Amino acid sequence: MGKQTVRYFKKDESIENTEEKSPKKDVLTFDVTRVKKKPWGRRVEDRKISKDKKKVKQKSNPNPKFKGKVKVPEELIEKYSKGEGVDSKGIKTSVHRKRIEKKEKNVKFAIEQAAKTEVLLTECSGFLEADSGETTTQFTQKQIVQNVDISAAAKHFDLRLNFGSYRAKYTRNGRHLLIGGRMGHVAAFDWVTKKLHCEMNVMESVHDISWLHIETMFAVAQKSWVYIYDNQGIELHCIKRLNKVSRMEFLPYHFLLASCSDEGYLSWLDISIGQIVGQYNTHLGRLSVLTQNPWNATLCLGHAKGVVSFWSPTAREPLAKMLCHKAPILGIHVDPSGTYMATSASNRELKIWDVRKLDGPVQEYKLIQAANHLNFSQKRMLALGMGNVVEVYRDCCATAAKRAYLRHRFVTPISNFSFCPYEDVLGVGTASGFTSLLVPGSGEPNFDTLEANPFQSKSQRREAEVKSLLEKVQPEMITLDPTAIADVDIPTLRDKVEAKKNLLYLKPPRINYEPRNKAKGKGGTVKIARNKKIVQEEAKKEFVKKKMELMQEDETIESSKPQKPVHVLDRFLPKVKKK
Amino acid sequence: MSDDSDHFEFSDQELDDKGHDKIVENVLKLNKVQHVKSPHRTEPTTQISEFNLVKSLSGHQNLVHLNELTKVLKGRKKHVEIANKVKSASGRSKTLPKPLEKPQAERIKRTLNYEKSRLQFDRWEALVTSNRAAPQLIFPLDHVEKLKIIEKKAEVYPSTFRLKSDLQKKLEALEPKSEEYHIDIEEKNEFPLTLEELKEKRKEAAKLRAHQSYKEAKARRQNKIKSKKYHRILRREKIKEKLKEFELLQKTNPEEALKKLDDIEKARAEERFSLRHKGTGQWARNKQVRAKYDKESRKVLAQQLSISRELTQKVKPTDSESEDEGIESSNTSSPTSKQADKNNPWVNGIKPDKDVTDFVSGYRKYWNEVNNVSNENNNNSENANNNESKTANIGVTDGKIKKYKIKSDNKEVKKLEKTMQKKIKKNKSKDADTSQSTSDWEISSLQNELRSSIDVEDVFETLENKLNKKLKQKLMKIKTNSKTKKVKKSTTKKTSEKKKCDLSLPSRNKKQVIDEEMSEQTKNTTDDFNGDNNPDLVTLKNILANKEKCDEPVNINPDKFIKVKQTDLNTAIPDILTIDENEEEVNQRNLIMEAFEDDDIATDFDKEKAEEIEKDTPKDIDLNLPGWGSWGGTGIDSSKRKRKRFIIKMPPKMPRRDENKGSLIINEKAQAKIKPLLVSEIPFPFKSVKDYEASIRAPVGSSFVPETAFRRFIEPAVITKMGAIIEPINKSILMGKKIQI
Repeated sequence: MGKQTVRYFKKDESIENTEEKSPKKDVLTFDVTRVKKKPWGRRVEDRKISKDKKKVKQKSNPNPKFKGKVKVPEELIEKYSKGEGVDSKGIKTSVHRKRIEKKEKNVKFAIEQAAKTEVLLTECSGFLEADSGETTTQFTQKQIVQNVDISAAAKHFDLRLNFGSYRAKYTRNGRHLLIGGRMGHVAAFDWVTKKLHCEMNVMESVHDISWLHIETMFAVAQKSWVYIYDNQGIELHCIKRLNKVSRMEFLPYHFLLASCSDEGYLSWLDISIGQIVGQYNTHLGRLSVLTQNPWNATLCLGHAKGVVSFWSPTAREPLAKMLCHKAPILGIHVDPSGTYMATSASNRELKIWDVRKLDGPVQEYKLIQAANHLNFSQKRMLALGMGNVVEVYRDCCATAAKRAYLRHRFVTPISNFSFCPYEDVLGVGTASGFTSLLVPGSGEPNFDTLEANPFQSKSQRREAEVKSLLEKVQPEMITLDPTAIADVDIPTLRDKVEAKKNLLYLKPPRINYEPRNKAKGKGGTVKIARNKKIVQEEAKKEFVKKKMELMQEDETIESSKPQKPVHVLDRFLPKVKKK
Repeated sequence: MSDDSDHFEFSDQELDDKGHDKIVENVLKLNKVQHVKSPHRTEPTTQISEFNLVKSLSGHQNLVHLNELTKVLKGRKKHVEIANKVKSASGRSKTLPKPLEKPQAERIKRTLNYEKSRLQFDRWEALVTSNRAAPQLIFPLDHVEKLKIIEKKAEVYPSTFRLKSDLQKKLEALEPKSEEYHIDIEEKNEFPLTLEELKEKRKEAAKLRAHQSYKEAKARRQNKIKSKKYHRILRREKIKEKLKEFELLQKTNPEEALKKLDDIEKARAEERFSLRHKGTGQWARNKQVRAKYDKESRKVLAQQLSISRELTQKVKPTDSESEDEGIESSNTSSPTSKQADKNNPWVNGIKPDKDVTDFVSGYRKYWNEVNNVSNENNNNSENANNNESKTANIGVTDGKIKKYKIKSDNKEVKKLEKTMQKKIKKNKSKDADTSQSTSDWEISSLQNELRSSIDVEDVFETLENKLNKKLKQKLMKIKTNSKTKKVKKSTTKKTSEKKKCDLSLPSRNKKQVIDEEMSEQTKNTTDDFNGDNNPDLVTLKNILANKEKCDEPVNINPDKFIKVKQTDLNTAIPDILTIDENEEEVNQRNLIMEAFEDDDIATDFDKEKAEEIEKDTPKDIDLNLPGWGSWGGTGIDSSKRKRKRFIIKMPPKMPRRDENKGSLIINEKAQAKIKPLLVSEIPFPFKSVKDYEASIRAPVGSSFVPETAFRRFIEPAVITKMGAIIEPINKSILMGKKIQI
């Protein structure tokens, strides 16, 4: 507890009163009898002073009608809480203790404020509710479209295209859609307004497509290489180092375009600096099942041996391998919060895993037909694609789902689908085009405009781009546990402490001095002994000096850190000799 | 040194033996080292160097004792009296203690100064800490009214000279001790000088300085003139000028003129009691030499003497007042005293209260001694003074006056007072004329005094001198006593402290002071895992084991406990299966695999995991050379001793994170890649890892916290108002009232 910050002088009331009677009014007297005779701080007395600090008594409410501020509910505070605070006993000086306490107060305030703003999230996601005797599975898209409002109904559409099986992806704010047909048809458009950005045929087979950090750029994995186009369809880059890419994923916070190839290569391309951060041969054969874990930005690969492997650009070997099925994995997806991972295998199994602990399975399902495609929505609905059927499941992670929430049957087989963020829409790419399905309650109704703004203007987009570039996370930080960066490296710390401790006990080396045999009369044994002593002393001195230097090194390193930036004219300064 | 002392001893014993001395000297000369010679007194001189006396004083044998000297005086009756006096005096007085060594005295001074200044600085402590801890400071710090604070030193300081009596101390204890300050609310100088005004001011100052220096030079020049004639002329001129001025004053301002007259009279009086015109100067002596033969010089001398007589003649009082008042006014005291006389209660015959008189008399006694009164007519002026002070004191609180009393001195003072009174009484008894007594105080008439003026004066002077001397001695004694006491106390304290230090020294040696901070950290870090601070490998193992224990509930294989029940989903049967050109053949294989779903995959995975573990565990190093010193070959195991000696065992690997998870392999090497990015030291204000980690747990950025909270996080530590002058902090911030802005 810090020192009391009282004024040194307390005006003595009695004296003041007498003062008023006397003619001299410009003289103030201060009682100094209670002035402490010993120095401040570091003493028990000073700590005692803080004990009898004024205790703030709560005044009784003068108007009991109004209860005052509404208290923020505990659950909400719990939701936003950042964990236990700093124990102020563990801070060294009272000044720093006070500062840290102040900071803790601010943190608490921030948490409360965040909990309070929950009131502003007025939107809530709905869902289909069936009458008794009915199931939601019965509802067809036609019925749904007929029953929803006109703006929602407009979100259901069907594009009949004939350039092979289509892959489709939405931007992070869910506003723009990119589709790529197997036979080279690539189109980008604002799917809400149906405004086309560009449409072209790349005259090569298209294996995958991916938006980059903004909607003005996208990457297309073509027959042999990956190309980057802008939203007008102009080819910006051709990346030949990424060849025969089968699947692509974009990591928005790291600006990494991750891709896996038919030849078993996994690569990360930093699109902000145009360099490949890591490219490794997985030695696991053809890779075609790829997804990202949005929680920690690792890549999840599904393999034919029923194994899911997790990768980061820093390591040649996978961070972890998990045997999920006893059959080749067909589909894999991680939910947007990074809690659950769904895998499906060719043995008609579907499993839900706890991906944070790499644990599970949480749920196990046996399907009638193996699911080729999986996708989680923001509200944790899971879409399964089997042949030409799409099924959507609600609450299938924590509890075992009984039946599908929605089902839709296409004419042609499904090649890919994805839920649209912040919309109740599932975009399905099929062999004969693209269909946008309405899945009530799939999207997040409240969006954070600082994170992803569906109604972003051009200037906002530009600002967001700059900000996100400034806040770019380095690829080295991709690990299984993203919170590890906030930890202290305890083994190294222990080693350092140990080394420093040992330095104290280090003994000077023994020196065996053997004098040269000199001619007789040049010096007796006394002189030899003296020389020996001198040599030994010198060695000892040298050693001690070095030791002291080593001991002080840490402090000097810290102190020398804030160096002046090098000036142009510094080259003319006399050079400092290095020791 | 020892040689020297020996030499001295010899010389003392055989003082008369000059030959021996010579021999010794010769012997010493042989050594060619110059020795300090003992001081010899060859001629009787009035001044004896104190340096030569030191030696003899240090030894006890050669001391000259006063008693021994007085023994000689036994012969005559008069001398016996003196001897007794000396005896009594020596009984009463003690030799002063030796003054402190300079470094010691300095040290005491320094410690006192340090204490004082430390207390002064402590006043700032609270403010400084609060400012340092404050999240935001807005400069200039003017939440406080501006005060001009001056300590009332000029009024308080003189009182520190006097020792306080017991009563005074008690009174002070009753009243709270207070520090007084003049505090004026400072007016802001809103319109400082313009440039032109400043220039003008500077110009004036320069002019003044030039004028001053010119005057100084002139005065110096004039002072150097030695001509008597010049000086005489100068003096005359001055006198003339003054007379003129006086005449002018008489016409214009009679009151001022009266004052001036007083001054002139005072000057005359001074001249009168000085020895001027008495024929003792150089000029007069010269004249006296010549007077025998030269008439003129005789005449001049006579004139001179007559002047002196004229000057020393008492001026007859001009007013015809009553006798008593005449006595009072006849002295050459200042007119203020005259005025005071008119309303003198004692002189007017009104007797004051007994208490008051008692007090005043007591006070008076002391006052006499302390204030070395230089006036000859001590009594009268004192009386006047007494009146004044009395009138003043009745109104004021008594405590202030009692301050002046020194208790320890009281007895002495009374004694002295008595003797003095006796003497005065003696004088009076000779001509017991008109003398009025108020309380213990005698007032003798001035006319008597005039007659026996010389005697009385002499007596008073001698008495005063004695008194002064004694008082000084007393004061010195008290001071030194207090000093020595303090010194003793401090020394004892120091010694005790030293002793304590000595006791603690060995233990301190063992501590590693340099590494204190770090060791503390280790303690804390280890505390997080394990209470032990032992750096041994065993403890490390323990630590790891502990960690594992902590993680255990997490790592329990769920397969063992909760077997998730497989739910059959009634999914739709698709009409068309996915037909992917690439995947077609794969699917084919998948079908086959599905048909023969066996544990091949599981066993493969287990094998892989085992390999991984194998690869990760460090292997023992075998330095054994088969066949070296013993038979080698198939079927021959090396001896147990050799195995023990040549196989270096690796420490057991820490348990893997995936140990209990059957279907998981975690690559720990890849996990370690983040290590260089982690903090491996605990930064300054934190003591433990936990606290440091807690301090960086919460995000601060605007994208993570609400805007209002974000603003609080990024509040600048210091705000300076644009264009405002930031003045250094002063005392008013400690004392002034807070101004609400």
